[in-house]
Amino acid sequence: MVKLKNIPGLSALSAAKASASPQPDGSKGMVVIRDTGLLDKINLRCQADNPVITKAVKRMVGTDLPTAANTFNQAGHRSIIWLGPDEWMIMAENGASDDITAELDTPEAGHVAVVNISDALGAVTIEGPHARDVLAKNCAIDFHPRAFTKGMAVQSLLSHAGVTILCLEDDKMMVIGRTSFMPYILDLLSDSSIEYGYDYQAA
Amino acid sequence: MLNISCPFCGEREELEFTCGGEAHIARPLAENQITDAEFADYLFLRDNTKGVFLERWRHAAGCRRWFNMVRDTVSHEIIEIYPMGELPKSKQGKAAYEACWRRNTAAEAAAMPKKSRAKKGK
Repeated sequence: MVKLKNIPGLSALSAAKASASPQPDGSKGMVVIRDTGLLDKINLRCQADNPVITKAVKRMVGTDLPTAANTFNQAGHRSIIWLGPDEWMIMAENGASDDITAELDTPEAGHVAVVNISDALGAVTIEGPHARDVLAKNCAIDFHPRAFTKGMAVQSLLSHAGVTILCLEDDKMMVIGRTSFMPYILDLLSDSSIEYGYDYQAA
Repeated sequence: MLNISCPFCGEREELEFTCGGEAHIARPLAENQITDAEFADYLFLRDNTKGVFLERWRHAAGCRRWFNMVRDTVSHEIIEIYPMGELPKSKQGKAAYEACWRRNTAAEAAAMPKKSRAKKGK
């Protein structure tokens, strides 16, 4: 397998400057939106019971392959997200994708597709007591704390943009979207946050 | 708007889905053995049923998987959702499947592997 040299790149939101809107009366707290910067992402397609892949995922990500729908498993900086009955996405720190891909994309693994999609997707985190309210404005997913709990990952639409939303903590979510949609997603989130006050922090 | 239960992701709103039209249109494997008119039944003719209809849907903004649905096009009631490659199990779904004109076409007969075609002949 040809190893591509990791070239330092730009975040999907590199053109967006830090911005903020003051917290008005009645808001329970500022909405903090952060560009996650460069994260490596790998799309993995295989059968859920592939023994070579399950072992390699355990080794490289540190957790099991999530088989329950709408969930993700996380260990340290790396996580693996359920995208479908035979499809997952691994997220890891910038620069890790070569090593992870090499472990997964082996002849022993059999019928498997491993694709590096690091630059296809961007991500922001959104946190604060009103994070769920902001997301709920543009998405039909039930974001009530009882329904959308830590460890859940849903693929849906945020207004017109297809996104994957992870529940990292009770009041902290991650929104993953297409690179070209990230400025739109950021505008959407910050505009929806004005009534609570927001602080966007560039990577 | 419909609320559709994706067999993989659970209940989501219709916006996340795309409709793939009529289900159970099998491609004739032996297309050289049927006439152009019979092949046209497979290629061009689609039902526009008023009532119970079998259709394919895809969860485009979610897991991107296809599935089949039995839906009443008048009331919008979703009667059954079942996986690709399977036949409906509900009474209304079965009836709609059997009643479809397509079941008796040469195109559909030519879509079946020889073994099951022989069985059907008996």
